[in-house]
Amino acid sequence: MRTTTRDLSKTRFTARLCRAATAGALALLAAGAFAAWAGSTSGSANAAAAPKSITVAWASKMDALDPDIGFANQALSAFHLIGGNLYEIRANGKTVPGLAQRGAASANGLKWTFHLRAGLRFSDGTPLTSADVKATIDRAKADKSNGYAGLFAPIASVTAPDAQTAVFNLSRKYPSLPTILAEPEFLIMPKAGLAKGKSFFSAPISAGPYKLVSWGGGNDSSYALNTHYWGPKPVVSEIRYATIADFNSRLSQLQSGQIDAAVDLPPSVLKQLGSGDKVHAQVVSVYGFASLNMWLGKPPLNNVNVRKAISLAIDRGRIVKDVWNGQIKAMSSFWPPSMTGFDKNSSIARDVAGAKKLLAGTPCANGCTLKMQYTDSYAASEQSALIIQSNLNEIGIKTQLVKLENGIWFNNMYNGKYQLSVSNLYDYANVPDGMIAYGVLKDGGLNANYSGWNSAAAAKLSQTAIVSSGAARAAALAGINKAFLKDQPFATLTTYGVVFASRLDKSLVSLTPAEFIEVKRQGT
Amino acid sequence: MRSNDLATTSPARSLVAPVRRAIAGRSRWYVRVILQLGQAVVVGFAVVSVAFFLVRLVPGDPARTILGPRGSPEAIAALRHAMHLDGPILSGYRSYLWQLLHADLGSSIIQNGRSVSGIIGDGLPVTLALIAGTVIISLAVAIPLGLLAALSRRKLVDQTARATLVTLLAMPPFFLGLLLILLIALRLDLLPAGGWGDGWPDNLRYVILPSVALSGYLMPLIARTVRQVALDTVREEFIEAAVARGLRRRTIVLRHVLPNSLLPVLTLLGLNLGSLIAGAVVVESVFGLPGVGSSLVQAVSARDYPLIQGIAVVSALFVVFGNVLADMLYVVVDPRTRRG
Repeated sequence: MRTTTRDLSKTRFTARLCRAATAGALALLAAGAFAAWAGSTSGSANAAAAPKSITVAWASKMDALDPDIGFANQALSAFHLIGGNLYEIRANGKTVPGLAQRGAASANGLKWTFHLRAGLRFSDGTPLTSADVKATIDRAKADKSNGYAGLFAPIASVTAPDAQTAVFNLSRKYPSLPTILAEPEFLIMPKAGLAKGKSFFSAPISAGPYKLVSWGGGNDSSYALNTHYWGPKPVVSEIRYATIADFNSRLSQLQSGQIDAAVDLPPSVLKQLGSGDKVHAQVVSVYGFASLNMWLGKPPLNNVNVRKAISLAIDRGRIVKDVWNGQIKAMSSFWPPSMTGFDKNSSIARDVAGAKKLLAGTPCANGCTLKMQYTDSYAASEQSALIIQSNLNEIGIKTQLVKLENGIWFNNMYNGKYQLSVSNLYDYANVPDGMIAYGVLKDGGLNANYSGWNSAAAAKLSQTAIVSSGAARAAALAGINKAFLKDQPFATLTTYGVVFASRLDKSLVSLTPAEFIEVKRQGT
Repeated sequence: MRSNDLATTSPARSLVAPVRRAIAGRSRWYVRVILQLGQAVVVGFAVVSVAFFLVRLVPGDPARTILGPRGSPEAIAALRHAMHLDGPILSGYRSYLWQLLHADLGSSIIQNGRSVSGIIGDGLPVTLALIAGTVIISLAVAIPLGLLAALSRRKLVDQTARATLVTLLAMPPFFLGLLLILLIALRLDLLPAGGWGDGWPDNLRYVILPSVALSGYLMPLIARTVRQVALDTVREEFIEAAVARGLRRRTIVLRHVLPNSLLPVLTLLGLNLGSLIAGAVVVESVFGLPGVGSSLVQAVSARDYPLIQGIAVVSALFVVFGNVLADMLYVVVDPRTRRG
């Protein structure tokens, strides 16, 4: 452009343009400030006084409010809020009477009789009787898509001789029944509601401490106190569940006060949150373990010495310290420390020389290469995989790490299309039934924790364990542990932990070992 | 073709000439729009087909995903049957196409039978608000910045502007988003760290940071385009003539330089709609926005086939119609394009 006396790029024009740009930017900032002033970010300070309402954020959204097919952690915790169960599991893991004031097994163990409390009502005020208990169990048994069918299988039928009595007739002894009945999938629902079919589950009614206010199938759901609840009322009147998939967003919104608590954060936040933070985080150990799974169907992992060498070479202490900030426990036996059957004499010590010795004469004697897959749907799986990779390198086993999307990872595990994988297995209560079904039995649903392990001895001991109690059960559980250590179908690493972070006083709201939100009750 | 030929041709043949002119680019603008709408239908059909078959090729079973490790083979089979996933794939495809013809996107197989259109309807306003906010912020900042960089006599101003734009362009939206959360939300407590409000105008404060994060990608593109076109325009003879006629600088910039700079911006916006949608998926995750992007991520993870297909179709149609809108705005800004 030629220079003229009225040059476009003269300072005066440029100054005007600068002013316009500055004014535009200031206008945008002012709009933002106005928007911020027009509302206010909510915040709850750490307070011993109970707030009227709290918001808890979950990683995955609620999948269904039908207890037969609701598996997401948020759904199970929702069942725990609204569900009235015959028994209840407290935050300390103890099973206590719920809707059933008392229950007892017959002499042969094939019949359990439960006596309901007087005056029970559902959240809509209608009476709760044994007919509703029968209807709930009958419906769950008839539902072919019931994902918990295995737990209902030993219940042959339920009868209701009177309005206050429910009799469970069993096909085999079921000593764990009271604790199993406390699990969320056994929440008691009204017979009249169940008769409506699937539509009932868009807004189900039960007899728990809370009632569902709204869901709509989306990311958020809200609950309010159930005024008809038989027991001591929680101190918080309203709870909102929100779904925030990204953990950074979950943590940021917790730190800014938009939410009050967050579940399933990665263990890295344990180091991120300083002592001066308004947010406190803790690891809740659930009933289960993190494991390095191995597929026994193909060489070299079909060789027991290779599997034992791998287990011996893993530095469990480093996983506990570096990944979990020392807030969980290392383990090498089948039963975790929180469950009956735990062998406190099981060694967790690392033995590289011993591992190398075991490899002699195996296909990995001169080194081998294995693929280790993991998914970031499980907290800390990547960090654990990296530590295990360096550990196995020391005994000549090279591993290629493969990170997979959760659906593909699960598909590979289910079909035995893997060699090594970081995984976990846990249950909702301190009873062996679930861990045996999924971790020991080939036909229990998970192919013995995806390993393909098929031990006749372990299967026989499992049958004994699930139908016995007391010393007989303890002996069977110990026998299962011995069979596990003998065959080493997979390597247990640590107890399985869930990181729970909150802005509230620890006594007000907590996360139970079953991953349910528990609110303090009045008078406790 | 001579004009008197029209009197002797059939109605079908009378359409040939306008279509030929449209194809040759010498058509009226409304014929082009009609052709683009037709193109939208073809694109939608192609996207539906590709999404339907591709998503079923990915390993993973929705029934197994729902029931998880606890699902027995019998329960999984029963749930697959209830979800109509156990029939032949071609018959499923035909059923789906028939549903689409009745404007029915189907029901989510993961979210308790909720309609796909309902799920998308819940999330679409959030995503559209995010994209609109991004475009507004990008235009409001990029156009003055581009003009400033082009018209400033001081090289430092131009160089600083260009360096800033390159830096912004190099930053992925999720990184910029995390920085904004850390500084604006957590340190300064000016705006929320994420989530969504209960309605407008409360939603305004939730959309600002995500829009700024996403505009970090679009703004530099617009600013650089405006800068380049402005530099080319001011060298034109008509600008010299305007200066010689004694027009004020502001008039010349606003009436001549700016409109010429906007034309490529419209094209740029149209071409980048797809990238904006992809960026919105990431930003929605970072800020926990309940938009269509978040629904898509969850649907892919859970193998919710109808929801994945529905979102793919809606996104594709959005991009196509967005380009149609850009073409129509082009005509408004430059009337010369009304006739080819």
